[in-house]
Amino acid sequence: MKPLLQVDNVSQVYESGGLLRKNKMRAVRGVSLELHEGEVLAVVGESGCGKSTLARMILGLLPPTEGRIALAGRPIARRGAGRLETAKRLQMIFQDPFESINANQKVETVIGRPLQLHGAKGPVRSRVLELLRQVGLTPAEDYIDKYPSQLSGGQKQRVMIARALGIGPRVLIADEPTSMLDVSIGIDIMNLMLDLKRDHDLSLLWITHNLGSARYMSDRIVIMFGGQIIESGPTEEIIASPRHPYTEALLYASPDPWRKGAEPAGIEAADRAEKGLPEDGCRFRHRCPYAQADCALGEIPMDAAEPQRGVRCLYPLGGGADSASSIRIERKDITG
Amino acid sequence: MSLLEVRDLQIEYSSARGPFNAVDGVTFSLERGEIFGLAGESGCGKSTTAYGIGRLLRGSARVVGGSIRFDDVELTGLSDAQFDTYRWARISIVLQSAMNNLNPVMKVKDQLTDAIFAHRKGVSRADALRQAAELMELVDLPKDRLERFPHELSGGMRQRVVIAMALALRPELIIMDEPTTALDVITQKGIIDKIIELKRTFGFSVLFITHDLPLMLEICDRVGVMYAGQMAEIATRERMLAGARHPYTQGLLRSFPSLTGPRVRLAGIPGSTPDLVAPPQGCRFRDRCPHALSVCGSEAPPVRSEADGIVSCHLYAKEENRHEAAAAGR
Repeated sequence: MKPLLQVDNVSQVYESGGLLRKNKMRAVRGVSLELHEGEVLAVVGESGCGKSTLARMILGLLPPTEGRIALAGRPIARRGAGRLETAKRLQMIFQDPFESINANQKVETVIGRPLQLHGAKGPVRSRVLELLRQVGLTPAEDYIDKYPSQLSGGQKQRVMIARALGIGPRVLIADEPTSMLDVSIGIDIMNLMLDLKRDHDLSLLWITHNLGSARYMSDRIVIMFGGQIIESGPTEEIIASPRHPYTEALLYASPDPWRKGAEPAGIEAADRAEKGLPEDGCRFRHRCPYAQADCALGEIPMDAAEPQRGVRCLYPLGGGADSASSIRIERKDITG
Repeated sequence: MSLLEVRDLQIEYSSARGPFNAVDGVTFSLERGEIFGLAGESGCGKSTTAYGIGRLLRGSARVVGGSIRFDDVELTGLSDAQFDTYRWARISIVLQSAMNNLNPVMKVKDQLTDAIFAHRKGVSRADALRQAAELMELVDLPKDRLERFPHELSGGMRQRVVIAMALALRPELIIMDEPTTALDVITQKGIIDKIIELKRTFGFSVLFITHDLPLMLEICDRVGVMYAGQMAEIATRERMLAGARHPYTQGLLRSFPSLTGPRVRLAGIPGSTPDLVAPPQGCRFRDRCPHALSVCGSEAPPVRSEADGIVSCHLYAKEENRHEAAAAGR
C-alpha cells in the first residue's frame, strides 16, 4: 500500500553567525518515515530532538535542506496555488491553544474563515455549528458567538480542532496538543482526536515527549534523538521491548509507580548531558550505559533486521536473537 | 509532634468579581523526614497553599484564617522580619523554573555564597566558597560550574544549582513547586533520584507540589489531593497505589495513560472546576462526580479519618450512603 505521507531522507540545517564563521546546526538528519491511511504514528523525543522542526517541514512552513516530502504522491507545496491544496489535506493542531487562537475573533470567525478561504460560498454559520457539535462543544449555539477569552483551555483546543477539521484534511499533525492542559481535560482531547480519526478516516501524526500519550494514541512509534530516528516499530513492541538504549532510558525515566521489576543497570548514565552530542558515530554514546569503542566510528545505520522494526544501534538490546542478549550481558561486565 | 501543622488554612484573593478563597479550610501535617505531596489540577490551590506557608504570596493574596505551625511556632503570627530568620535557614523553596530562583547576572558561586552570608554572620569568604563547592558536589555538579552564569548551564543543571541553594543552610523543610515540570523525563528522573538520596542523607522534609500524580506516587510517602481550594483526600502512597478513596482522585488516576498494564480507553473527568467566587453548596466536586448522592448537593462532605488517610466525601460518611450509591447502579 502506498503511504499517504512520505518523508524521504529529510534534513534541516540551521545556519547562524557572520560572514567569516558560519555555525551550522543540523537539527534534523536524514529522517525517513511513512504515514499510512488511517494510521496514528507517534513521533517521540525530548526537547531539541528535532521533532517540531520535522513537523514544520512536513507542513511546508520550512523548506528541507535535503530530502523530499510527499503527500498522496505529490510533493508538499510551500507557495503558489499548491500551497492551498497542501493546507487542505494537511492540518496542524498546535501545543498552546492560548497562543494559536486569535483573541479578537469570535468562534464563528475562527472556524468559519478557513472555510471561506477554501471556497465555501455564502454563510458558513450552519457548518460551524455542525463542526462545534463534532468536537463536543454542545449546545453549539452557546459557543459560536463567544470570544476565546470566554473559553477554557480545553474548549479552545476543541475550537482549534474544529477549525482544522472544517476543510476536510486527510492528515492531522498534532504537536503536544495536550501538554498545556490539565490531565483530565487532556485525556478528553486525546479521546476526541481518536474518535475523529475513526469517523473521518484521518491519519494522525502525534508529536510528543510523553511515551505514555504516544502509547495511548498510536499504532506505531518512531523515537527521535539528536535529529535522527533511532528506533521505530509497532507501539506495543517498542513499549514492551525497546531495542535502543535511549528508548530504554526514556521508558524507565517515565514515571509509572505501578511498574514492576527493577530498572536496568546504568540508566542514570543517560542523564549525563554536559558533554553535548557528538557529530559522528552514535549521537547517544556519551550517555549510553552500554557504549563501546566502535560506537564512535562512522555513521550508525538503521538496522531493520526484524520485520517492521528499526534500530540505529550497533548493539541493540535484548529480545529475540540470542546473540543480542549475550552481547548485552558481556557489555554490562565491561562497563562494570 | 509534626514538623509542620496546617489547620483550616484560608487564603483569599481579590478579583474583579469579588474576593474568593483560593485555599478554603485546608488541613494537613508534615512529619520530619517525610516527603508529602500536594496534587491537583490548575487552580486547585496547591501552589497557593505552599506559597502561603513559605510567605511568597503575591498580589492580592493573603492568609485570612487558620494556622500554620512549624516546629510548634505559629508562623502566621510572625512579622516579616521574624519570618526572615526562617527563610532559607529552616524553610527553603525550589520553584518550577530555575530562572525564577536564580539571578541571571550572578555567577553560581555568588548565588550560593549569598545565602550563606545572609544567614551565617562572620563566615569568611574562603569558608563560604568551600561550602559552595561542597554543595555542588552534593548535587553532582562539577566544581568548575561555580564560575558560570545560569544561562551557561542546561535546565537540569540549573535546577540542581537551585536545589544546592535550598540545601545551603540545612533547612528542615524544603518546599518544591513543580521542580521538574520544565525538564525532560530523563533529566527529571536524575533530579528526583537525587532529591530522595539527599533526603535520606540529611533527613529534611519535603512539601512536593505537582500535577503529575504518577511522579508524585514515585517520590512521596503521603499525598494530599486538592480540589477547588479544599483537601479532597490524604492517603499514604500504598493506599493510593492500591486504590484511592475519593471519586476525584480516582478520576485523576484514570486520566494518566499508563506504560504498563492493558491498553484501555481512559475516561478523564467530565465537566470543569466550579467558580470559586460563588462556590456551590455541598460538595464542590458533585457536578462532576459519577457517584453523587442527594446529600452531596446540600451538605459539605464530612472528613473521615482512617488509618492510612483521610477522605472528605459523603460516600464514606455513612453506611447507607454507600448503599444508595450501589442501588443507583454505579
